[in-house]
Amino acid sequence: MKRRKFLQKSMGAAAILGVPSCLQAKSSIVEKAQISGKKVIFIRMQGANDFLNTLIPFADTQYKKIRPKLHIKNDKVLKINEKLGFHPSLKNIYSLFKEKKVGLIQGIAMSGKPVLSHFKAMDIVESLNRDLDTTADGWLAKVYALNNKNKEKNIKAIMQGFQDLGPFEGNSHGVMLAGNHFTSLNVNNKKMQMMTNNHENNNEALNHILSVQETINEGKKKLMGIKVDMNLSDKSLKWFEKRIIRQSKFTVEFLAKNKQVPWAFISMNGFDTHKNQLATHQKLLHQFDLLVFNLLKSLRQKKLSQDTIIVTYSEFGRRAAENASLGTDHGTAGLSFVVGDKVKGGLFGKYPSLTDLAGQNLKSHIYFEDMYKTLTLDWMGFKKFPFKGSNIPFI
Amino acid sequence: MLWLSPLFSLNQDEAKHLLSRVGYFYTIQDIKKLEKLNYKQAAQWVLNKTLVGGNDYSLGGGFLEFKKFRNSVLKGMGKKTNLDNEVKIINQYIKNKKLTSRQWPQEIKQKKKAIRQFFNQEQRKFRKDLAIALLSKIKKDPLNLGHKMHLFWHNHFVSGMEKVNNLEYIFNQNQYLYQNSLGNFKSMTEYLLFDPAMVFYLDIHKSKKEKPNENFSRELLELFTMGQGNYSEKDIKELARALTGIHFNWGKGKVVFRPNQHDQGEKTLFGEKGNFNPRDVLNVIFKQDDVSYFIAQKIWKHFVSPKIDKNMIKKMAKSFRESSYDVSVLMKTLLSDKRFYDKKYHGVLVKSPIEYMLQLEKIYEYLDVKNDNFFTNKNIIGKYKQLGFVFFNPPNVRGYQGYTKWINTATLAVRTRFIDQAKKRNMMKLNSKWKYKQLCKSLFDNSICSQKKIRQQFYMSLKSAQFQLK
Repeated sequence: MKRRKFLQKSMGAAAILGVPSCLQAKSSIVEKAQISGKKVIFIRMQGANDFLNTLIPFADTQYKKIRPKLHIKNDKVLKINEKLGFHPSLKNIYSLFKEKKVGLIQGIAMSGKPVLSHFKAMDIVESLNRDLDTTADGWLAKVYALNNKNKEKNIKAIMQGFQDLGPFEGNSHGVMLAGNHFTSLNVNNKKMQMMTNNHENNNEALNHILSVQETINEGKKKLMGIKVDMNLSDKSLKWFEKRIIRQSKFTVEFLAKNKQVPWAFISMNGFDTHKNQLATHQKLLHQFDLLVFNLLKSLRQKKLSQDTIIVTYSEFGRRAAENASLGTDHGTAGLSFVVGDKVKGGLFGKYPSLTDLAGQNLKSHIYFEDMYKTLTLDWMGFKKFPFKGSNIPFI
Repeated sequence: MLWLSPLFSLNQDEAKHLLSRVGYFYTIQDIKKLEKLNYKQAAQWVLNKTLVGGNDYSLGGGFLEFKKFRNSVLKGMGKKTNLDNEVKIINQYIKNKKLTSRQWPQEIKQKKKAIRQFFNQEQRKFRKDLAIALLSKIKKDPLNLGHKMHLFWHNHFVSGMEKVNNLEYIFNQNQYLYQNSLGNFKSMTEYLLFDPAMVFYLDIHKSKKEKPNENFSRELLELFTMGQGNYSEKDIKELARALTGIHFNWGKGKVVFRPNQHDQGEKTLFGEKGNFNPRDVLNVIFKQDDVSYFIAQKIWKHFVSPKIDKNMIKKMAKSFRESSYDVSVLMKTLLSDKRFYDKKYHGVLVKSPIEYMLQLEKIYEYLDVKNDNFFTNKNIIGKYKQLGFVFFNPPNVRGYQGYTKWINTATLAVRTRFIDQAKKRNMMKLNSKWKYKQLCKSLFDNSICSQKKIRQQFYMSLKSAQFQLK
């Protein structure tokens, strides 16, 4: 915060203070983006991650009753206190938690009546809009609009593994969607031709394409010179480890090179564990653990770890009791991780009761609005937040 | 019929509009033909074209042989190859020792894994063949509405290869959807309830009497028939009970209904009470007017515009209901109404990857640009993947969202790059300007096509935002 304010204030006096011209150019961009220099990397766990088997209430006898086949054995749980512990796959997150670098938002869910369809729930979680018939703008697009920053054409986010713009839906010119492997945005592309200068028209599709074209032209400049330094033929690493390391390095390298891009998103799929959950969930959490670990490692290497936090979300949690196919069905309350060197580690919210259920689902007392609000105002330093919510003290 | 006054017939822009919405590629001749027809006749012209071209996707002998081979190996009875014999020995070994999969020795596990990998490899190969067969079928007959309808239903009743993991089932499902793409929607839904690919994709067979699987009943209402918000959570629970008993008979390779696994109790669905079985519930669902509205609206959004014309949806839904859900009647109602041709709907939809690629291919073919089989080689699957489209494997049960979702920074860069890549090796041929002009006129605004440097202008237009639209 302080550093940025200094930059902002020094802007006008740049010439007198003798700031080199290259820095002048940079600080003007910083001012334009009106951000604190803080960054957030979101990890989206698509398909709904199972809360009860991620942060495990091992001491609760009810846990084994409702999960007769799916519970994690007591001696395998990575215990953080006398009641709760992590899934055995989360080894790195476990040690980060002990260093107080991990905040756990217990039982986070959408506010209001739960929606149990993946798509609608994800729409709601990413837009905070409950009107199910319209495709609404994402919550971040609304944050930018409310703070009068939506007209800015500079890139605000990079998203990997997304089919849509998620929380930035409705702000397409501000977001760079990179495929899984970043090969498609080839810097050698010839400049796109634009046949019309007429931006003022009612054709939604045409406007969308024109603004995506502009983003591509800007994004090409941003991608230039970003190299991921790793040995791809290293035989000691599994394929998914390579993918995760590459993804982490690229993301952090990109954020380091482009100081004015505050948001990065990575989507992980496959958490919809309706059957044979144990093996699938173990594999996915292992990959998730590696991703968080590698991101933080790269952030530290690039000296960004003081300015960046990693946040996770899922469209909802899973049903409290297991189903007949060794899996769990769609539920409500979930778990969000906030990880970083600047995070105040610990437990937030109340662990949902396993006996006091709403139907068959866990009751939640803490909502996505609360988490987003904390990120927007307390961390990123925006002035306004468009939804009601209460602060969660993880910063 | 041609004596009709031109006042009642399509103008050039309307003809282009119709052709680009129902077909994949058209020429100036097609436009000229339509300019002589009125809206009703134009709709009939389109529907008549669906009768041409035959009903099968010919996959050649390779796929059939693979099917036979796979089935024989899976039954452990094949004698053709070493692999067959190994499978036979392995299966016999497991059978004799009565081992559960956890108790298999390491060696057996590895061999099983190797065989599975082999199958997956072969399957990928034939999946490519199937995609190429589909594309070449469209190319032969680009104005056949049947193709567009097939892909519409494929994206409506989604089943993905990754989950189903059996090309034969996916092939059969697509064959059915293609053959019935303009048929009866209710029969289609009923067929898919017992379709192996659908059953595996949505885990229908895992639903148990004691714990019915709500997943499928939710999708059936939300995505296939009624749309979000037109049913209650209670309806979903009751429907799930009614849908129990659908199982897969592995011996016969067929989906069957097992009454003893079915919840025989009374259910209440949309206020109606009865001991509904899976077929009965479809009758109840299809009594709801919401079904016709839901499909009419989806068709409108797919073929006309994201902006709904409420009166038109009403008219379409009515004709759909009154024809007992005949898709060709629904399409005829749409295409013969002057509201379909309204200028405000021209050029407001985004070309899908298949539409984009096939049009580019046809353009290069027409201009004799040598493209080194850019559009037909084995890499074609990978190219579509870069455009955000995976053959026979939509991203999730909701299918592709299409429209502006086709275009993001990644896919638009690739689309533009393909224009150069496809003609890289042998730069544009110096065709006569006349050919360029003809093509230009059929694709773009006439004002662009009268300029002097028509060739350069034409390639520039291909890279414009307008070329992404239809």
